[in-house]
Amino acid sequence: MSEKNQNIKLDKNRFSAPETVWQKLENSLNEANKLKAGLNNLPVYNAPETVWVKIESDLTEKRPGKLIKLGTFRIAAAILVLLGAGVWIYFSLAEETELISYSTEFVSGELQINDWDEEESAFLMLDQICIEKPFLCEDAEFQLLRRSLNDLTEGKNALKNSLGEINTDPDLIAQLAKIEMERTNILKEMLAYL
Amino acid sequence: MQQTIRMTESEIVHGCLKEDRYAQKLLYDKYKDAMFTLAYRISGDFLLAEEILHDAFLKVFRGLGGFRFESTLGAWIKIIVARTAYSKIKKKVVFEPFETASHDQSVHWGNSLDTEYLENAIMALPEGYRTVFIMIEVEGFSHREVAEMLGISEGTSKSQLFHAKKKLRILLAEYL
Repeated sequence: MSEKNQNIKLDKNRFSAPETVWQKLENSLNEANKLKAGLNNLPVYNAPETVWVKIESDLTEKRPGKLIKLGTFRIAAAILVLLGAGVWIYFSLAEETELISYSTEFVSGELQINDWDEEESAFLMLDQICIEKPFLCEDAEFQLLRRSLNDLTEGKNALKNSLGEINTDPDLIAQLAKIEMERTNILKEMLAYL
Repeated sequence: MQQTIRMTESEIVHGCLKEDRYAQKLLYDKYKDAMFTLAYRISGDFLLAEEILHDAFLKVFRGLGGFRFESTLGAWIKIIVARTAYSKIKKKVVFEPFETASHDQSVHWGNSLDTEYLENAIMALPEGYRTVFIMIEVEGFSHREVAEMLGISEGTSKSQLFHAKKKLRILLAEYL
């Protein structure tokens, strides 16, 4: 049996509650009562007279709540009618209207480098050879290639004129690159004859 | 000279329902100070308390048709004022645990507890603690009612009250 339990006296099979319990309970009640008494004595503040003046003024005015609700309902109804009319007009005219669509494409920086004239010196060199040594260029196959090259050169110049200095049309640039590639291939074939 | 007519609470209510301005003024005068005090204690701001009182009494007069005499008129108005007040400070209220609450409002009170010290200590409580403490200890609402009004659980209401009292004890330590 612990020392604490030894202090509890037995009285006809009943345990006696320690006095300390009541002391603690009394202290708690006193503290609670103290606080309660304090709370009961808290001050009451006087409402300013201006509050009633404003309440009375608001009570005299027409209640805006119902008006706003009614107004909102009317606005909502009007919007619905307009939307319905808009949808009806749109679909009724849709068949008669041509659709216009567009897309935006961006040209990469690499494509915007105008490098298609860089190998022009090689073409000029070929021309020079044919002028100086015409017998080297008399072959029928060679002449056929030369006509193709001239056609491609004309096409290239036409595209270059279309592009001008600032045009970045991706389709034109792609065509120009393709033509230049074909010209280069033909040049290689022609050089092989020499 | 204005004549004062004695009216019972029921007569006042019926007068208000007929939009009798005299009855409305009687009702307002009867509860205005108690409700203004409640509004101030919850909001912690006299100007805001005026706004709360105004808004709450407009709700009272416009919603009096819904009063079913199931409670006293004062208790019904008190709920409206408490709800209105809480709606005004709701954004500021954080029901945080005491341990993480701000401790910068610690005040050393004198040796005697007077109402001024107690009032200051209550008003120094964080909004969450103060709202629950005022509603339960001062205004006599139950935890269930407070939980319903504030949109919190009864458990939260109880823990807020516990922490509010704990904080008050710290603030009033020298007196108690």
